[in-house]
Amino acid sequence: MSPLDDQLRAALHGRADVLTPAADPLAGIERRARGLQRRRLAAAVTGAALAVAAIAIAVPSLTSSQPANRPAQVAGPSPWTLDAAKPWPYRGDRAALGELTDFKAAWSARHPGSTLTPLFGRIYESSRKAEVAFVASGGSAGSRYGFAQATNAGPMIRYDSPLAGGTGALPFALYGDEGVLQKIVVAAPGVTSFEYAGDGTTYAPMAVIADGVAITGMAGLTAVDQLRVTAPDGTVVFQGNAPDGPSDNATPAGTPANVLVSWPERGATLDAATKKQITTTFATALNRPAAQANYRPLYTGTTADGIRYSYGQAWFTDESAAYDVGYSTRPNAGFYLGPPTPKTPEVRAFLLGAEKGATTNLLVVIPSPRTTQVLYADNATGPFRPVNGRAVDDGVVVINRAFSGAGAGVDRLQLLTGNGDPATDKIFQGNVVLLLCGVKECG
Amino acid sequence: MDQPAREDFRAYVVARSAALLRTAYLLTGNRTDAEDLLQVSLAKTYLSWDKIRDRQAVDGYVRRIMVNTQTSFWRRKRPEQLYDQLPEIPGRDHTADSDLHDALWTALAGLPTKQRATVVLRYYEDLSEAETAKVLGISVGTVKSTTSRALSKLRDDASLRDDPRAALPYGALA
Repeated sequence: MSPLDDQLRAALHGRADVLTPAADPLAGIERRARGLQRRRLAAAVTGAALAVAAIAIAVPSLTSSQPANRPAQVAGPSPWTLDAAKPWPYRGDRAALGELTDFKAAWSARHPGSTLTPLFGRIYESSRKAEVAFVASGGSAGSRYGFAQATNAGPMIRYDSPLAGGTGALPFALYGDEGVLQKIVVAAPGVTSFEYAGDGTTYAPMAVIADGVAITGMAGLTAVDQLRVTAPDGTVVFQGNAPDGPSDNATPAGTPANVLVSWPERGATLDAATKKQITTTFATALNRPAAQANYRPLYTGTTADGIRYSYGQAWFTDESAAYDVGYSTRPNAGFYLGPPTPKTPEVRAFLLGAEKGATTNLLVVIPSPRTTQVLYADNATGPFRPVNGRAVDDGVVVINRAFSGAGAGVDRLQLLTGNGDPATDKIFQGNVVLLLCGVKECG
Repeated sequence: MDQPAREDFRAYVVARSAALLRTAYLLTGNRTDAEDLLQVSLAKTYLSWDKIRDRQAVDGYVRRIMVNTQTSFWRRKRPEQLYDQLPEIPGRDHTADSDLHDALWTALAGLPTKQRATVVLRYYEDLSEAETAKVLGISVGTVKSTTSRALSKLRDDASLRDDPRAALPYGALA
């Protein structure tokens, strides 16, 4: 027995032994048990449906001789295509529609006069957050489709794309509740054959999670992966490239390769006026026409003191590199121009200027979507500690960072993925200051 | 579940939920998550109650569900749900060692889930290495190495490093 053993036992007992449970928890346990039972039944039914679907598609796939590269969508109207004026019925968890008012408000802010109709929705078990795939029509935007997710910062429109004629399936690539990239495909009710080929050639069935809706997880991004959706009558309603990120099909042509399209736009929705201010300032800084400047936020937020800020990437159309940029409204309207963004970074970090008299800056850490834990050490040699994020959204954390004293300038960040074991799950470790290097100096 | 079995289950919950809540609290680090973890673990036990023949083994069964559920909870959690300072301190101890205990508690929060579970089972539940291995579904050797790594991390924590009461010979548990 060592001193640490004894102290550990005493510490654990000192913390836990004073807790008392609720008086009669049985009602809550039974309610929870009923919910678990419902989900188990649903999973069993889905599994059975998937088995039937696999058998059903086996015969046509053995005999078909379809060309390798078909059009991405069916050519013309068919019973399986989506018409924004007469959309497919809603499928999935009706509880997700509880967020519909917020989703509609976020959508109409983008496209005044456009009304969305939900097609599929679900709620994550752990976070209770909802997400909805939808189609929209009306206003000057025309027919569009999209995907909305509830976040800590409010509703986020993850997809916003024009709806082409003859569309037979809506494919999305999204980060789910566990930070795992997943493909979700929404097709017409009755469609049961959804296949995904991670290597572009070897198709495997996706899991059908609702009538005409399927999902598959994926370990990472790939440029070659393919989706194929086939209706029961043999019509291939979709075959083509699988989307690679939330804004994959919203990114205009001419976008530099280092734009982090697989990273979601987190936090609040950036208003058009601020976005214009950022692109204008960026263009002025590099002496280029503002009309060619683009900005994509990685995180937009507001501090407890009312400082509004947005960090992301800016670039000029048809140029080869996007830059890290940041913008804040106080203490002064500040603009930060960083270096070109690395092509596959695990983290971006920015400093938010302090109010007069403060001894700390705010360090805004935007980790890659596969990150499951952010740790911070405010000194050069001490252990990393899990970060207590302030004003955090979707994994973004804000840290009070001292700019004077012993730890200033030597603090470090560590990012973990998966189970968060530093021995096996570390995806980044390094000095904060090196992440804060602008075009002239490091912060 | 028929009425006698339901009453049997209720009696178990009444008798054991305090102890189980404490274990859940040590696994999660805060009361809200602990209550949620306990409720979902007991709900899973409720669904299997008729299949559990040895009532003496129920505690071990629930503990195993709690650890496994906590691992999957953790996987779904995002960084904002982790804390550097645990937000609730339901019962601070007022012994002379309270500073050291606070430091240990904070350091415990920084351990990966499996290491934390191992520490709780070994040092709070006082389970043997074999019993801990059974609950966690791992080998005794893995329990030893996981415990050793966890204690090593606690020992290496900056706030504990200079405290002689936290001294532990290197390799003591290896």
